[in-house]
Amino acid sequence: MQNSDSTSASLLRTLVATLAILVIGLWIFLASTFQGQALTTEALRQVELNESPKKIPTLLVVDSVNQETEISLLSSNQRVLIVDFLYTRCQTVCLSLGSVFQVLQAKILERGLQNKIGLVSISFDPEHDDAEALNRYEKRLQIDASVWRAYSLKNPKDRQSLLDAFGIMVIPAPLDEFEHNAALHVVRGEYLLHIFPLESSEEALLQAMALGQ
Amino acid sequence: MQIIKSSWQRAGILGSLMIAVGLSLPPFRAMIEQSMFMQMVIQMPLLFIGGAWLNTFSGPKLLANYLSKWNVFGLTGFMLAQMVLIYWMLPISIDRAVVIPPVDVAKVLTLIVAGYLVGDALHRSPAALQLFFIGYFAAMMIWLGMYFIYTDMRLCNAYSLSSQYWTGYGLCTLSLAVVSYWSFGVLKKQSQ
Repeated sequence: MQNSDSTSASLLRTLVATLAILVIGLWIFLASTFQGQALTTEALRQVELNESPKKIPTLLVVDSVNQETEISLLSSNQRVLIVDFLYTRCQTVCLSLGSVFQVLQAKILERGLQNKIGLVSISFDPEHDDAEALNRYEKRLQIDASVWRAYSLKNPKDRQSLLDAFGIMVIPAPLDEFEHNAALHVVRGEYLLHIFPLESSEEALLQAMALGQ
Repeated sequence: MQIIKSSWQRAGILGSLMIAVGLSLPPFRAMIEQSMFMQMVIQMPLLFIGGAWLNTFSGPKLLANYLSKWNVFGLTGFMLAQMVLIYWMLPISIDRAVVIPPVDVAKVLTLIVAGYLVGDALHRSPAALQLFFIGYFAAMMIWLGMYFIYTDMRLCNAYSLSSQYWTGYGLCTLSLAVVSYWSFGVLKKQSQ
């Protein structure tokens, strides 16, 4: 009898411990996935911004005619930007980024929105992408300067701060290429406000229109 | 599991744990930073197996017996291990382990503990309970593996799409290995 009592006491303790582990485990899961909304780093980037906008650092960029600008001054409160990050030699994800931006450019021109919404491509590979490379890129993608501009970092040492500020992770890939997360970053003034996946370019445009008003 | 006395067996156990932990330390860290396969299909299982083998030492064995009042049928151990394993399958956790070193330390420690707990739970639990946890886990690995193989979405910002693809095959293989190993163990036990 003594023995069966202690067995059932152990079983009770075990069930309590198991339940406690389940609760703590669930709590850790929710705490580290933004209440279950972000199972990937890319999703986390998006939901975190919805809570609080992120200030853009002051880094110098150059455009295709070698004109210097502060990256945080590219957008004003009156002109919202959709920003992407790339390197112009890229043969993989940047190609789809490029075509997404071409579609956006056409839509913006068609709706006459170029004073309210702009497109910006920023290269994170300043060593290869100088003004000349940017120029070639603008030509190749038939970029209309009234809508879309390409920039590269002025100082190669700013590369990591740029990537960290926008949450871009670049990893080396074969054939001297890079692999990186590609998304559409909606910027107004000095703030990064939203991030949309590439497939949601229409939503990004609508969001930019709403912000521009 | 029996207490192992021979010193070369002990050396083997400690050696495999050292390899698994070493993959998180420089210069070998580069291997898991570059390859999702190395992290998920090689390092994580090695940590787990190394943890399970700790049960062959008398110290950890004593601790497990001491904790057994809270661990009837190994239920508590199974549940904790399950939580740990699920957590380290989330793409966001895998990314964090690459980018944030303290998270990687947590990964190494919790996976060793998970292995230790399952190794102990396996000889406290009836086969039906084992089937529940192991079957669930195997199904989850297959599901995740298939997803890694067929999706063209990069789930980890730290890893390339091709690395994710091969990890998918790796997880499916691991799942089959786990089920085969366990089934073989059950059959062997029954035939005795």
